[in-house]
Order: sequence, then structure tokens, then C-alpha cells
Amino acid sequence: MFLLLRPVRLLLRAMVLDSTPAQMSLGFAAGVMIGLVPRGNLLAIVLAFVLAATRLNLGIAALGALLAALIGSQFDTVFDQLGWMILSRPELADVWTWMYSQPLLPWTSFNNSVVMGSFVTGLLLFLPLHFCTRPLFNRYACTLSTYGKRSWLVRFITGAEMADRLGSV
Amino acid sequence: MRWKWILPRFIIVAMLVGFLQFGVDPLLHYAGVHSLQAITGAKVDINSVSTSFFPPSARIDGLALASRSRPGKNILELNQLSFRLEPHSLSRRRFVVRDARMEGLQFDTVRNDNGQLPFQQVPEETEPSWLAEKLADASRDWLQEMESTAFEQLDPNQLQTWRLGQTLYQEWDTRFQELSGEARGLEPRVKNLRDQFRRLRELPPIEQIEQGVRLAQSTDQLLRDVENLNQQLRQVAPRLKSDVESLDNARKSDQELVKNKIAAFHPDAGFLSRTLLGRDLYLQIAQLLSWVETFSEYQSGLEDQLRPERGDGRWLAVLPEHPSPDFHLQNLAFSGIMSIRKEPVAWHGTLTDLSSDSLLLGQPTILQAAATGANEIRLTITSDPTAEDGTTSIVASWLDHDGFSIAAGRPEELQLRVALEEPRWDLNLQLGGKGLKGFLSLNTNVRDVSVDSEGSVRPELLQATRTALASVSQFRAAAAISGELKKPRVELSSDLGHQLAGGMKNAFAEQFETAKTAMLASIDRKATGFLDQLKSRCESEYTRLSKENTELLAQLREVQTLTAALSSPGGNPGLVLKQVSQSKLLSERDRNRLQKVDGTIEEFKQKLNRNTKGVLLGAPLAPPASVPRATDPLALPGLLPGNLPQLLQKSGTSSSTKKKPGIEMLPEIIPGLKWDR
Repeated sequence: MFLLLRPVRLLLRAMVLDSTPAQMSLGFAAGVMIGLVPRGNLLAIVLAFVLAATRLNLGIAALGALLAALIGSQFDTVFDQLGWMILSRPELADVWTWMYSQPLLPWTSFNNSVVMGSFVTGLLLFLPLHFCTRPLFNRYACTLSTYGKRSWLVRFITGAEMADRLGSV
Repeated sequence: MRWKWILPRFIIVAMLVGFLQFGVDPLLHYAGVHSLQAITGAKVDINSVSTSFFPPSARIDGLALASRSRPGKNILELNQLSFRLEPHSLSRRRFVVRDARMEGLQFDTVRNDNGQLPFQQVPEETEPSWLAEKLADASRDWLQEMESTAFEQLDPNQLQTWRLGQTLYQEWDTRFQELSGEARGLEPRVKNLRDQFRRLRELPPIEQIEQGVRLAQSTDQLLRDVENLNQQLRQVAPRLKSDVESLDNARKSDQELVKNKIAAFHPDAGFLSRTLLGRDLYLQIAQLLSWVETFSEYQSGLEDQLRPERGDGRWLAVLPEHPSPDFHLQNLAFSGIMSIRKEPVAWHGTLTDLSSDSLLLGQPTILQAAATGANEIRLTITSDPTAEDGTTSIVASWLDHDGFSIAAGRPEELQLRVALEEPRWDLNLQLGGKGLKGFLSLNTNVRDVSVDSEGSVRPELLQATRTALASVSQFRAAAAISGELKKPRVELSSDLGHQLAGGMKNAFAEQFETAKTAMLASIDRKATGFLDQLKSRCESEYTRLSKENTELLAQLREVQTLTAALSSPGGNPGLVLKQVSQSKLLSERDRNRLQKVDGTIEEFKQKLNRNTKGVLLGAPLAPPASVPRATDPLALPGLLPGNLPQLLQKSGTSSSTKKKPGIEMLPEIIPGLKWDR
């Protein structure tokens, strides 16, 4: 039981608890970037892997991705225009050709105007979102952490683990 | 701290690997079933889907696509479909299938359930409108139709003589009815005039004068009307003559027409071909087009499925260093069993170079299939977008060793049945966009021909048909297809129709000759009849109306004369009496009496003239114009002016007594004369 519950507890802590305000704000910005990019291409998966590989707050990132996905589809026209503006630049044509000839890169659908536009938008919004949300997380990080620790799921898992340990002794 | 970071990431990776290992196949199964169901609109069964990433390959077992329009039937069913993807291309987002195999492919198989999705209305399978039209045309009774076509040319109602004769008779009938009506309208007026004239003597003298004037005016008006009618009657003769000439010309024209028409009669070979072969050919074409249409619908449904949920955006056409289509099926071998006339026939084929962009690939897609056995089938479908017209061509041939029969007509009347030996169907169809062009042909030997009749078909027709068909040993038929996929134009032609038409023409020739003779005689008879009828009718009506008109005219002139005399104050009573007594206005008895009176007056006058010359009756009589009408109230028509008071005094009657004016005073004036009312 211990071996089963511990990974879950660690995952939960990694996702919700024990994060600094900077990790939270960066996680939120990264989540928004992932949420804006349409699904069904390698770019979104790679971004998700990169996010998972960092120490950013995954819970906050998931929240950001969810919000961005909800509102992102409303701005497809804007993404399309922006993406096409980038893709159609003649000086970048060779870059696209080279990229398209490489393994795996075509799976990112980078040559699609909406994918390119949303990805660039996410990149452009990354730092502003980080700096804008950081003061908020500074102020409410403790509150969120406390709220998370008091939630019935966390209490159930941590309590069960403690009881399991005591029982094994 | 390190484990706190590693362990969650490890768990995520493990979950991902677990999903790829155990979740992809069920997910693909689910996605495949739902996508195909969205395309076909009916149930899709897949027994299992198994994939592997190294090397990338997939295998689908037990695929069955139910038919939406035919519950309980599968569109196709296959036992296994397996393929391998080329990894190098896959890493560049290109699906290249080098070799694929499809085994146990069958069409139109039976399902255990009805195959319909819940809450989905099953569309009614209706045959296309063009097919309904063509089948209706083909189902017409061929022999009856031909017979009616032939004899329609001999239909009397088509001839000018009939139409003109009937029209003229009706016109003249109407005309005479109008004239009779006008004449009948005049009779009461004349009668009324006569009555008024009779009543005139009952009126006081002054009123007699006034009434006499009015009667004279009415008489003039009536006389004009009668003369008008008379004028119309005089115009009848020239018009009638002209009409009779027209009718005679029509007769000559019709006789010439009948001779030429029957000489030019030829049965409609196209119609014969359509009725004999149309049904089978049209159904074959309809089935073929329905396959093409279904395939097009499924293709568009597949494109809809591939469309992303988010905005499609625009794709930059990036030309990689080695451009090739995103999907390329290099070779697919398939085999299965198809059912032809409910008999299973093994078949096999290959599909090569099926790609998402044939233009980029530069290779046409070719499907080749063949079946051997009792039915030899060869099918080649080539889709070549690189061609100028960018069409898909379908070339197929089907040799049926067993042969089959075609039938035309209804068994209850007359049915023709032709048994075909080794018929060979050839199809060549070009599809470009929505347009299509091509043909379906049938080339066959005739094994046996039978003509059966259960109805009351004339024996000579039956014999003629048999004779015509006896010489047919082989024929060709072709249906030219053009127009659009949804509304194709199908034109059928066959030498069978020409062979039959020629035979029929000879067989019918004798009958037509007889019919022609009868027809010419009939035209002559009918035209003569019309002329006689018209003449007779016109003659009798004209005579009657003329007689009536003459009588009316005579009576009116008489009335006119009398009224003129009566209204004249200086009139001679003897003359008046003579006119009245000779007229037909009074009864026979009154006329006799008046004639007696007239005689007595004449005698009386002679006596007076002899004894008292110029005493009573001034000689000569004063002219009417010199008599002042207004100063002599007793100046009645027919009486001498100024002398009536003396006459009245002599007979002892007061001048103020005006009980018996005019003619009725005569018995009192003339002794011995009795006035009997």
C-alpha cells in the first residue's frame, strides 16, 4: 500500500504543493502556451514533455492550459493571420523547407498558419504572463498551499500513508 | 529532493508508455468504428485492431460495413486487412504503404442484425428519377405500341377532311340558328303590329290618327329589320359555295396525305430496342452509377472526418527536398468472393498508387480486378489527374457463359422472350468532376426466341412478330451515357430494333395496304357525306327562312300601305276599304263584309253622283293638303272631310255622338248594311 500511495502523494505534491511563486507563474505561462496550440500535432506533445521535465508547477500549468484551450479557439482567425504572416515571409522559405525535410518536424504542423500563429502568440505571452501573475502567486501561494493540504484528497492520501507506516511498525 | 522530481516524471512517462502499449489499439478501434459509422451512416463492426510501432504496421480483423439503405445487408465485409508503413516516410509525416493485403473481401453480404444505428431514420431506397422515366418507357407494351403507332397514322381524326367538315357543319348550324332566332324575333313584332292595327278601329278618331302614325313608324322600323335579315340571307349562298370548295380541297389533300404516309411507314427501331433491352441495360447502368455515387459520398465523408475541430487555417505548401504525397498506397492486393446472380465467384485484384496527391506523385491510380469461372469479369479503373481532362475511366467487360434471357411485354397480352447465348457486356465510362461520358454495350448471340400470348392478340400480328424474329441470330446494343452523375442521359441503340423493325414492316405491309384502301374510301365517303349534309341543311334552312322572310315582308308592306292610308285625312274611303278588305290583316269574314260595304259604297256613290252631283260629295274631292286637320275634329281617316256632320244629322244622329267612329258607322250611313262584330 505504501508503495502504491507514495508515488501518488509525490505526484500530488509536485503538482500542487511545495512550489515557489515563480514556479507557479512560469507554470501558468507555459500552460497557456500549450493550451493555445491546437491539439493533434507533435508540437503540443513536445511542449507538454518539456513542461513535465521542468520543476514548474504542473497543476497551475494544467489550469492555464485548460483556460487557454477554452478561449484559444475564439482567436483562430487572429492566429491564422499572424501565422500566415510569418510563414509567408520569403526570407524564411528556406527555413521551412529545411524543417519540413527533417524527421519528426513535419509532425509539428508548423506550416499550418493557426499552429504557427498560436505558438508564436503563446511565446509572446509567456514572459508577460509570468511577470503579471507572479505578484498574485506571491500573495496567494501560501493560501493555495494551505487550501491544497486541507483538501480531502490530499488529507486522505497523506493520512493513509501515515497510517500505513504506523501499521507496518 | 531528486526522487521528488524524478518519480513524478517517471510516472508520467510510464503512463504514456502504458497508453501507447495498451491504449492505442482500443482507441484506434473506437475511433475507426465511429469515423466509419459517420461516413456510412450505419453500423461498422471491427473485430480487432492491432498496431505495432517497430516496424509501424497495423492489422484489422473482421471489418463489416453495414448498408444504410438496405437493412440487414453489408456494403462490404472483409476478413483481414494488413499493411506496413514505411518508417522513413512516416517520420516525415507521410504515410507510405508498400504492401497491403486485403483478404476475404465480399460485397453485399447478409448481417445478423439490421445494421442500422439507433435513432437514425432509414432512408427509403428510391430509384433515381431518370431510371424511373426510362423504365416506364421500357415497360410500354412494345407490340401494342407499335400497332397503335402504325394505325395512329390512319386515324381519321388526324385528317383535315374530318376536322374541316365538322367545323363547317357546326359553324353553319350556329349561323342558321342565329338567323332563325332573328326571324323568330321578328314574328311577334309583326303579330303585335297586326293586333294594334285591329285595335285601331276601336279607338276614338283622334287617337286613331295618332296610333296610325305610330304604327307607320313601327312598320317602317320592322320593315328595315326584315330587309336586313333578307340581306343576310342573300350572303349565305356565296359563303356556302366557298366552304364547299374548301371541303372538297381538304378531301383531295387528305387522300394524297394518306397515300404518302402509309408509303413512308417504318416502325420505330429505337423504341423497339428500348422496350426489348432497355430494362436490363438501364438497371446495369443505375447500379454502376450508384456505386460511383456511394463511393463519392464516402470520400466526402472521409474528408469531413479528417477536418480538425479547430479552425482549419492555411497550410503553407512547403516543398521538401524530396516531395511526395502525404499518403501513398503503393500496392494493395485483395481477394474475395463476389456474388453474381446469387452464385459465388472468386475474384482478386490489385490497387496501385493510390495517393492523396496523384499530380504530385505523377502516377495514375489503377484498380484491376478479375473474376473467373462461369462469369468472366475484367475491371480496370484508372484515375489519372495528370491527364488533360483529369478524368477517371472505368473499363469493364463481363462475359456470361451461362447466358440469360430478356423479356419484353406483358405475359397476359404478348410477351417476347429472347434467350441470350454468351452475352458480353462492355463498359467504358469517363468521369470528370460531376460529368460523365461513356457507353455500356451488349454483344450477344441469340439462342432462342419465343413469342407467347395469353391474351387476344390478333393472329396475324403474332405471326408477323414470329416471322420478324426468326431471322435474328445475334445483335448488339449500346447505351450511350452522358450528363451528370445525379442526372445522367442514357440513349439506347441497337441493331435488334432495326432488325425487328424491318421484319415488322414487311409483315405489316399487307395489312397496311388494305388499311390504306379502306382509308381512302372512308375519306371520300366522309367528305361526300359532309358535303351532302351541309348542302341539305343549308338548302332547307335557307328556303324556309327566305319564305318566312318574304311573307313577313309582304305583310309589313301591306300594313305600311294601310297605315299610310289610314293616317291620311284626305283618303278615299272606298280605296281604304278595298285595301283593308284585300289585306290579310282582317279575318276572312270581315274581309267579305268589307267587300260588300265597298260595293254598297260604290253603288251609293254612283247614285249620289247621278242625283245630287256635287251636293254631298264635292267633285272633285278636296286635296288632303287643303283640309285643315286641326279645325275638323271629325276628319277621320277614310271619311270625307267636312261632310260627316251632315251625314250624321241626316241619319238622325247627333254630331256629338262618337260611339261608332270610322268603319263602324257605315251601317248607319248605308241602309241595309249590318255591322256584325
